[in-house]
Amino acid sequence: MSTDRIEQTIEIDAPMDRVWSLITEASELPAWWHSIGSASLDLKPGGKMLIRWKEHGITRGVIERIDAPTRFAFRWSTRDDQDPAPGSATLVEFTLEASGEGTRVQVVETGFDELEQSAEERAAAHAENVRGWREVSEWLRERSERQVA
Amino acid sequence: VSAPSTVFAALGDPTRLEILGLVGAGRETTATRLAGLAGVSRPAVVKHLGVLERAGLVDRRKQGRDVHFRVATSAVSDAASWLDARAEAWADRLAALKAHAESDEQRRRAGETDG
Repeated sequence: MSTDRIEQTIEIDAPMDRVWSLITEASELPAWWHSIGSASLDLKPGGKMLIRWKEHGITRGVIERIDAPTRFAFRWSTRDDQDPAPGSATLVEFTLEASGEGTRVQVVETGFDELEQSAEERAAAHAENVRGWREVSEWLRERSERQVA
Repeated sequence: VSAPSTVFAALGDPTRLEILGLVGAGRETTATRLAGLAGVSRPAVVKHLGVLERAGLVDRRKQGRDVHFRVATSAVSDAASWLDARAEAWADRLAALKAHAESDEQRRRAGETDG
């Protein structure tokens, strides 16, 4: 199993254009992404993204792709108040798709294996080289649960 | 519970992984029995068990002259949840997006009916 990628999908009973605005307009973000205090987005490839978190800190990113109303992708830094750079950023891709009268939203975040900023992530990548660490952990957990039972 | 980095470092050695698996296979086991099963010397097994124990992956229990080892489940599930937590954060955000978009949409539809 990959340690590089996570994926989530949800069905929303609202039109695609509306969902698109909620995701891509800086003024709309804090209304549903509750940890965001304020945000600014320069909506073009290479445009800058800045998120000011309610609690503390700033996350900076760069828009990678914007094709209204279906594809929105940005690379964001894992370091506070720094521009995304190799080793300290992941790629987030939103894909919207009409689903009946509603919208299916998929989020994929990739690039975790490239991260260098913490011991956990380095170690995770290392363990992955030996054997898929989640696979191993699952296997161990299964055994442990059998053991408890 | 140890930091995830300690856990991953402990899991990063194939022999140690094998030993951990063998510990998990039974209810409890001893270093001597593990040495036989893994085909590794007893001192080597004891060393590996030490690393696993410091990472919080195995617990030891003394019974008379014997020391019994078993898998400590909490550390194992912490390691497994490293990426799950990130995925969970997106699931939460999307659920919040859905709730917001749908309540907006209901208001808009109600408005259309009124108008």
